[in-house]
Amino acid sequence: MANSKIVMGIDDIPMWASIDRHRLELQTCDDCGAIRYPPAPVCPKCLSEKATWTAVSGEGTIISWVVFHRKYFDDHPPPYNSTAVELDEGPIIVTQLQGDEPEGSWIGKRVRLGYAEHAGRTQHFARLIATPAGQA
Amino acid sequence: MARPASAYIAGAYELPMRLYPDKSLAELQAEAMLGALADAGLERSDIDGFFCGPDAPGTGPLSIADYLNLKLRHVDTTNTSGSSYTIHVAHAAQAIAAGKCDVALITLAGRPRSEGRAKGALARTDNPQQPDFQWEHPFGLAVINVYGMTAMRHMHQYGTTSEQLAWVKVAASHHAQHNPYALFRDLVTVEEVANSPLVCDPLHRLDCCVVTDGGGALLVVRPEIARNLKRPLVRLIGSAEAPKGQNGGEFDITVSGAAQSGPAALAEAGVTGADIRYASLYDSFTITVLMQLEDLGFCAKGQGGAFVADGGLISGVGRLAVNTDGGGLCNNHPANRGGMTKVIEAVRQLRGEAHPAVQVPNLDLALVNAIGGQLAVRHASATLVLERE
Repeated sequence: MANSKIVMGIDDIPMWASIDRHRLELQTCDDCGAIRYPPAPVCPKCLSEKATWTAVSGEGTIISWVVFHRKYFDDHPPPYNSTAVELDEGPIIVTQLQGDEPEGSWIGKRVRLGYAEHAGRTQHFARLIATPAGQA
Repeated sequence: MARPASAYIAGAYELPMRLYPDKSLAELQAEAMLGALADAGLERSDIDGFFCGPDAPGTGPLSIADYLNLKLRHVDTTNTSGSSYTIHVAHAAQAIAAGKCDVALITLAGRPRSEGRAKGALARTDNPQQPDFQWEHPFGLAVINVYGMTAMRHMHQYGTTSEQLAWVKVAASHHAQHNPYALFRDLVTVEEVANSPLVCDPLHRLDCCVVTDGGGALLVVRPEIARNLKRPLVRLIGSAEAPKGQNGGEFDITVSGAAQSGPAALAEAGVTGADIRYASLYDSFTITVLMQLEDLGFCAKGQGGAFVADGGLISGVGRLAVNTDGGGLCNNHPANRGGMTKVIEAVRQLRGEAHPAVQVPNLDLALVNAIGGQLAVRHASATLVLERE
């Protein structure tokens, strides 16, 4: 077993640099305006090669999650969660929920991205946005 | 539109063992071929088309075709993970209709159990150049998580329960008890499934398919050839394939490619889901079966839990007999790829050669569906409609 690691592709370098700066950026198509994920050299909607890395709001809604009870990596001792968040800008990203966990279903809960050191790199994570009624 | 001239599955063979510590992959490929040839009553020299997946060692089809000493005029190594071999049946029929070959051999063989490779439980490290893994890998993901996320959202959206999912495994165990070759032959209860250890909440150990060595082979042949053989005639009358991805980041994880491939294959066959009494559905995990039942139209979206509950998939009990060999959940999941065994059991059912305890009486129509890859984010659904003439 070993640590999980970043697999750095050419198209991913600006993304990881943005995470190092604690502000996640995704590519916005200069021609049709679509914000895409995963990073890619062309727009999946209009095939334009022109795009600008744009900071996202960092807020979104949990669309699903799982909790791993088996160990796959040294740096992810179970139990640990994997959480899919639909960003307010549209794309669905995978991250981990840290801090308080909702009672019952996590789906529909509002979260905000944060950043933390993990195994020698900076990663994003999600934290519940506190609301007065405790509801998203 | 007139139904296109189609091909027949004349030979089907499943390697009998579930552990092969002392046989090479090449030897297993050869045994699978020989089994299918004997089943069909054909000779190796009849084969002029070869279809295989990346489980065949070597460059594409080249090493194994040479090792088997095949004389070929058509090859196809389409790889959509576990659904590859289901797609190969359709591609073989298309090649035959186009005059590119007469007798197509499709093979699968693997030794993940001997080699300690449990794909669903492996961390995702497939290929660092793959453009869609990089952002997920650092978060400690394994293949099972996309199936788990689909199950979790299905539960949230439709009220599906772990107990309902468990019924898929319970039905498989009811069938597997009659299969002397099945890896697991013991009956299990809903409680045993739902109380088995969590692997990836909400999926438990008994929601996951088995890891087995083995494989199998199919022979898809031109109609004139099939009619001169002594075996019952099983004809492909409809097929479709549907890759599904992330659509640039906007997608619904509770809909599979079967929503596209199912209706297309049924329309080509000129039948509806209501005509189908037996289906082989890829059961990589219990949730995979639920998704296919809904997306193929056997029940409304969200009603899969109610459909499978109380023995809904048990032959002779439920409305639809599913995976009467015990499926991937109890019987066999050779090479971590289930698309081959799904076709083989459908052929057994249409020939009337399934175990008498699970044989669907007077069956003349069967559906096969496989979901290869990773449900929710990147997979290919393949649907076949088969008819007994």
